[in-house]
Amino acid sequence: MNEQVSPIQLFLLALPVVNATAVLFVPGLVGTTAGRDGWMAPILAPVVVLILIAIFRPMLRRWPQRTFIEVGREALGPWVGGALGILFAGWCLHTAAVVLREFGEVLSSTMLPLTPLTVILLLQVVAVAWISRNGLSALGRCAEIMIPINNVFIVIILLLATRDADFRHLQPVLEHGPGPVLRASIIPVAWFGELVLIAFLWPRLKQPRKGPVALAYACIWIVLVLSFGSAMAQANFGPVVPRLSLPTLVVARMISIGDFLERIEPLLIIVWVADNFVKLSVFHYVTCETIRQSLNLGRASVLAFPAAALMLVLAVAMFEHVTQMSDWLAHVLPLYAPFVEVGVPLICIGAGLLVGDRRSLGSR
Amino acid sequence: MKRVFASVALLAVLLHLLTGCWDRIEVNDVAYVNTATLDLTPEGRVRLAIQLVVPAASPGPGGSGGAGRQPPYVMAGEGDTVGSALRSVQEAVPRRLFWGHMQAVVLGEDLARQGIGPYLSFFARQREPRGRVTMLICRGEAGRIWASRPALEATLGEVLREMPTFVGTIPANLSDVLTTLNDQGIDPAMPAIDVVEAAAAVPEAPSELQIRAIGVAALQQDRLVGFLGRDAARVVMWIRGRQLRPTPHLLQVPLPSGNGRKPLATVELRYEDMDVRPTTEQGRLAVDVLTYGEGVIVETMAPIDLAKPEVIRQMEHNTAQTLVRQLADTLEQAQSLRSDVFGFGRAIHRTQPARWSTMKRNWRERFPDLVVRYHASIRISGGGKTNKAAVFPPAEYRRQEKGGGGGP
Repeated sequence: MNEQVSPIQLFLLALPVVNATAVLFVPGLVGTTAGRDGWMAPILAPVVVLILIAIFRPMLRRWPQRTFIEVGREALGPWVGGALGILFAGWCLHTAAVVLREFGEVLSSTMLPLTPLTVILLLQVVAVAWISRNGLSALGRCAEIMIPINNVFIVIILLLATRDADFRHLQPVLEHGPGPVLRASIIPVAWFGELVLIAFLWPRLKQPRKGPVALAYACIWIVLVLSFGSAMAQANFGPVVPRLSLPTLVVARMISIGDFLERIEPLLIIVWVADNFVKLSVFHYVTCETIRQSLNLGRASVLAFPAAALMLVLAVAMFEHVTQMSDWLAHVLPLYAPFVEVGVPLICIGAGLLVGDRRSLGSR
Repeated sequence: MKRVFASVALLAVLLHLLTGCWDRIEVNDVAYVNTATLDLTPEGRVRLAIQLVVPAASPGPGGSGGAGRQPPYVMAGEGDTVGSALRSVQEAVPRRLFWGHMQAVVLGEDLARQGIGPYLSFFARQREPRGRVTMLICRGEAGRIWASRPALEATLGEVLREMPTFVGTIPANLSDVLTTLNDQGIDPAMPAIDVVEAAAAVPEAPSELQIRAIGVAALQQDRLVGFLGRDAARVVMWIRGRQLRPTPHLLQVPLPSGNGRKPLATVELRYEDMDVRPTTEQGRLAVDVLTYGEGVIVETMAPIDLAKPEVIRQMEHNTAQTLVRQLADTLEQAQSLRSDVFGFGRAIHRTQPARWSTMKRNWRERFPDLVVRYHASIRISGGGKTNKAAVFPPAEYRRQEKGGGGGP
């Protein structure tokens, strides 16, 4: 049960949970709300991670080897605790399905317009189910191989794009005061909230207390990449950024070094596929784990393929087209995601702490 | 061992999934669009002409020359939209048209005067064209460019892509045009070209049609309003804060004194920098344009001793004055067209946002009355290979020195 991942693996798993999709979507979204100050928006977003750390720390101190689902189930009983766990697992599966659909929509709108969406999604889902069936240590190894390369690619792409960048597009700074930036920073909060999955994995560390530190470092790197990415989009395209569907991809398409280093956006697509693979795997692994813990099942691995099939069907059936998905992401998701991301752990851990002394939960 | 075989076999099978069967496109099923021209027909329809790259005709590295002299493979079609014009082109092309390698789009004058927005939409939305596509406006009908034959480059697109190297115009790609179109206080500017009959270099040879840079096309929002002259190009790029790279900037500057011969010199500016600072003059908006340049004298048409510091100082002064005249002329042209291609408004927006918010609504009316003050400072680092140009007899230098040296 224990010691399945190292802190470094956990750090590497946390990066794609946010950046896999955020690198492509966030620059355009914050650019729409905060204009040329969009690059500041990601800086404030990790506040939600601080809240998560504050909620999880008491649990780590008292029951370092238990997840909040297990704590909640014991404190609230199998019915209420189990229901909360299933709610969390449902959110997890649902979000994973949305991520999967985003992944497919980007691939089919940029590279594979003729390939049926279902086929693109199916290939990814099979890989995701396979890795999550093999457990957390396999997933950690995957992250160790892929994520450093991905991040090097992203940084290289963004650095190459500085050639055409005109940073005067970032002026004037804060023309309309801090209001738009604050409003825009709610957008990346939705992504950072998904880091609750990494908090869920803390008990899998040899020293669970190292978890928050690893997550904090991950947040710093994520903020740097998102901020830099948003600034580069702005410096390259200025006022056009809100009009672009995927600014980062267009930035990559603009790169031309000495007339021969051009057309390097396939690199970004490689990053997109690999990052999303790890992100989806984290989501899927946690889905299976939370279902197992809520229902007190024996092994999570038997759930891997059924849950993956469910994810695929949801991803295909949930939206008719990409506009509907964007609308849903902008107007529905923010209303419910934070309540699950922060609310469920808060209730479970809070109940555990209140009830814990009476029932001596830690004696395991 | 069995496991190893099994995993290798599995990997081999999985590899086949990576080929993207549905989206497989064979190179020889695709026709690469190299250049496109868009014109408006008298009936108000779009006439799209595209040059396709004919693989056999484009000379490879070290290949046989002269292949580029073949008539370009151009197809044309008409329609109410760019898309329907494209459809009628495709009726005669046995391959799928591919836009990802397109190098240039040339817009006709009539179409540009109507507004380029609707016609650029296709290139901004369709997934293949890139932001780096060079955008140009041709005086008259854009389709005339097909009559010219590129001599140095394999395709017309390659010629047009190198447009910024031509003296007298500016670089602009799709992304530049979209960015300026969406920004406040700046109007798009695009390279302007024309197709002219060039006098043959060799007396007996027939004259040829040539693509020539004729200056800068100035737009108001997305509508062409006029052309700025050749000197405008450097000025526009300067004030926008971008350097023009490849060709030397040669300025014709009067010498301090002449004695019977032509009192002119050529100064090559090698480093140029410019800053635009909005200020206030007696309560009115004014803009300071500060220019700095470094150069060398590459030609003097009269004897002059460039070893003397005071002569150099005089030349620096004269160069600065010449430059300021160019700046002022260009601004006057743009002001009479009411097209802020320099982005003075944007400069005000960036440095004094509060002030800009009071004037952005009627910037178009204010721009023609904008007061601009020029401050040019030029440093001349020398006279090239010779200080007293060896082409004049010593007697002329002596006579000039007696006559008062470098005084104007």
